[in-house]
Amino acid sequence: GTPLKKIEVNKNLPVVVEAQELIYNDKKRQAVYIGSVVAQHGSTVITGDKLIIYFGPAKTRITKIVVEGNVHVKDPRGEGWCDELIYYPMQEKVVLLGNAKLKQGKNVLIGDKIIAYRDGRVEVVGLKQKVKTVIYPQESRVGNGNSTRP
Amino acid sequence: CASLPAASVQKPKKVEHVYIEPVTNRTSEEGLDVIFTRAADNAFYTDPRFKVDLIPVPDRTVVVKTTVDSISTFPVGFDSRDVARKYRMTIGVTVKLIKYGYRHPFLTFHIERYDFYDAYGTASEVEAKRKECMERIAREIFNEVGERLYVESAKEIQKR
Amino acid sequence: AASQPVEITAQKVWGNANTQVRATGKVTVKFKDVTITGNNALYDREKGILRVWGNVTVTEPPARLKCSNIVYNLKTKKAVLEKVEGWLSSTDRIKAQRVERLNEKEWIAYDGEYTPCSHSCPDWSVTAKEFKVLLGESFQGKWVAFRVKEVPILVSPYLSGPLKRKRSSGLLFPRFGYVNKDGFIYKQPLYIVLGRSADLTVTLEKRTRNGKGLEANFRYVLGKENRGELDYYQIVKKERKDWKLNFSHYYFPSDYLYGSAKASVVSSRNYYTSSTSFNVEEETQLYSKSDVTGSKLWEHAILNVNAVYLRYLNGAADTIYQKLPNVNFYLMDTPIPKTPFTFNLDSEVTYFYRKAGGSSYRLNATPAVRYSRNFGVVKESALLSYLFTSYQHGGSRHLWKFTNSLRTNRFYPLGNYALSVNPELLFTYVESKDQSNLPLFDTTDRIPGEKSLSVSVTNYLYGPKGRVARGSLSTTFNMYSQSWQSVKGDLELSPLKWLSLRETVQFSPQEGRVEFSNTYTSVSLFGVNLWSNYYYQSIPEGLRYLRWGTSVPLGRYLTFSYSQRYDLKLSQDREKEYALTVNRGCWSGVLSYRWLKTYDNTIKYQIMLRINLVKLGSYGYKLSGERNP
Repeated sequence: GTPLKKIEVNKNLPVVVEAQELIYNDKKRQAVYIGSVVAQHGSTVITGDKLIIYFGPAKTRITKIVVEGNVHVKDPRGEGWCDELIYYPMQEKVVLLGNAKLKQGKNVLIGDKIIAYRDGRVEVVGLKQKVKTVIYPQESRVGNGNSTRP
Repeated sequence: CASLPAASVQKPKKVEHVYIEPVTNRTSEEGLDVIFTRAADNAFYTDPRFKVDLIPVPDRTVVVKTTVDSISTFPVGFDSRDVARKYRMTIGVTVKLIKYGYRHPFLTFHIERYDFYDAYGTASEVEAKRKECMERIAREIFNEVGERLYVESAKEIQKR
Repeated sequence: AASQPVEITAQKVWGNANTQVRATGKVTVKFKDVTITGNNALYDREKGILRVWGNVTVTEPPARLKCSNIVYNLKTKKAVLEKVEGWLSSTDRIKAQRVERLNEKEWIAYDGEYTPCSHSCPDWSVTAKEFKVLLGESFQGKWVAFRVKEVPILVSPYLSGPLKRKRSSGLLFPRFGYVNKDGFIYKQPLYIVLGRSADLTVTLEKRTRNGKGLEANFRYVLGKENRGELDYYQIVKKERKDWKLNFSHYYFPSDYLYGSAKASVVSSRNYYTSSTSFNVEEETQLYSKSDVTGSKLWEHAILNVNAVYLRYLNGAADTIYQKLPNVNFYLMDTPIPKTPFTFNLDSEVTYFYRKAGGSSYRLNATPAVRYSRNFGVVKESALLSYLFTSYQHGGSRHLWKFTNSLRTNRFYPLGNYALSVNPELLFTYVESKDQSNLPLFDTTDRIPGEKSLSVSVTNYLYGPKGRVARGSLSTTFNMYSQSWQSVKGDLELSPLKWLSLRETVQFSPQEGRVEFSNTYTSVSLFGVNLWSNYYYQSIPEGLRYLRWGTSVPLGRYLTFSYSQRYDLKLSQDREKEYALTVNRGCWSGVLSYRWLKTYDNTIKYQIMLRINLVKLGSYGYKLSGERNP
């Protein structure tokens, strides 16, 4: 697989969202985007049918973003598909739910629920059907025995 | 046993053109290949159903390739001092019939025949009787090769 | 090479796919043709190490194993398994504390039990501190206990089955026996490897009461179809020493160039009484024969060179003319251009050696011209041959020989059956000449004159399922003595699948009696086979023997067989053999009792147990005895 570049994530990068319609509910502190939604945070791009942003009590910080329907997420570390996605910008954690599939380089992870962390760690849980992961062994560099760190 | 579906039992008509290869001897009995090659010549040249081609013609000539696989003797009669005086000799051959120009045989069969010889007289006299017994068996085997070639190959070629 | 992915399915997987991944809950890992299942798995991608533990099963055809845990290095393909049970291949079954997999073919097991038996409770197995298995080939174990149905029988320091790859010298399994004259027999074989393609097995033999033996068996391989074996056995007793030499070589690079050699020389007929061999055919033969032969085949000719050495069983060979060598060239029938004739040549040069003197060459050449023609359904084939013989010490012989054969073939379809009739008429004339002043090396040095007419017919009867019968009759009318020579009949009948009959008869019209006949019948129904062979001979001495036998299956693995030879003239039994044969797949065994009455009413008996263990070779125990009247 191609070695992943180390990404410096700046937590206070803006989250940019485009959609056909936006409904803002001040009481619930929710912004609901409907219709070919595209959301971008730094180098992470998420698309889906509907996106809900939940703001913190001071309405200045996003606590979580939920995307539903044909969700596709892409960033330098990999690419994912699922029915529903929950993104926690502060912890840079993504949770994919329902027919979740995550591709990291050539490696593929499939399951009912996938939790992916910033440092590449990932958790895959099979609820209805078993998890399936396809991992390509490391290319053993001819000559030097030790494997270089990405 | 030669298998022959009775339904299609009619008289194989035409004369078969054959090319005879010298016989290979896979046993350790010396000179068996010369005896069998002579018998093959004699059998096919005297059999009315065959015409021997010196140069095989593609798609017409059937190449007859014979290999002697086994020869064994078994004592059947002993004299009053328990010396074996009568032997039964059994020789087994494998015959491959190859349509000239093809690589694989269209028919392969195994024939085993036996005959008897006595062991009275000096060692070289008994050896001569063994050789005569081999010649008799070779003649019987090639008569049967002719029969099976003619009867079975006619059926085989009809299938083509 | 594009590396193969590692596929992990489980209820839960976590970790970093690039460095290390854990999985738990019905884990299945697939990598190339390996499938491992278990409760937990850890795949360290960087080191290429896969660890699975908890109720693990490993499948890498042909191996199928269960174990408590496995560490499998995907890069080096080496693996270590603990508490293992299962199949390394369809014929290698093991149970061991620890197993190391060195490569696809080589496994090493520690504190384990090995068997090729597929039955749940194995008939036999071998336990060892350490043993190495080459899949499907061999097994090698240190400190081995041999167990039959879980009962340890014997511990031998080093037990090795058939070794194909790296062979090492060592003591092989000892052999035992008993001969009531000589006491217990102990044979200890020593196996010595002589380079990559030869080995020597020296067996020392000690008989408690009388007799010391030595056997040397030397095997060598020179090439793919080029190998041989030399076996020398001698038994030294107080009263005398007997020995036997066997040699065979097989050289078969192609169907058109090949050769072989076989020698069997024995000190005397007493060898068979002093050794424990019970080979009736060898013991009763008149002489032993050793020969070397080589042949070269062309499209239309064949050259055979051979040498033959004959030796009477009482050791005398001085008076025999030995063919050392005999060169024989035969040119097959070749058409003579622009003529309807074909030409063939049979020629032979032989050097006859005789210790008692008179050794010399002989040349035989027999050119022959053949004329064959079809007249409608009849074919005539006339053969004129000129027999020329010349002897080294002067003298030669010229003889004309003429044969004329008339053959036809009639084929009669008879509904579901068909009859093929092949009559032949053969006229033979051989010029009669006085050859009394010529040397007499063998019977071909005295060819009698002949003028005869042979009549023969061979019939084949075909039925719906194939050939039912073959029968032939032949006789010869001697024109010089104006008399019919003996009539020979030969019949082979298999009317039903389970019944077959063979009859050979030679009848003499002058004396009006049967000269010899052999009747063989065989019935096999529901696995039971019953056969009988009645042999009758009137000339030169009257002999009448009845041989019969049966084999009856006693269950799936066991077969009982009995055979007997009864002398009808002296109305007494001469040979009996009872045998129980077992075939359990991973081992087979024969327990046989043989009984033989010799002409001077000595009774010889032999009890033999022979066991063949798949992978470990075969072991025989013999008990022979003799009772003089």
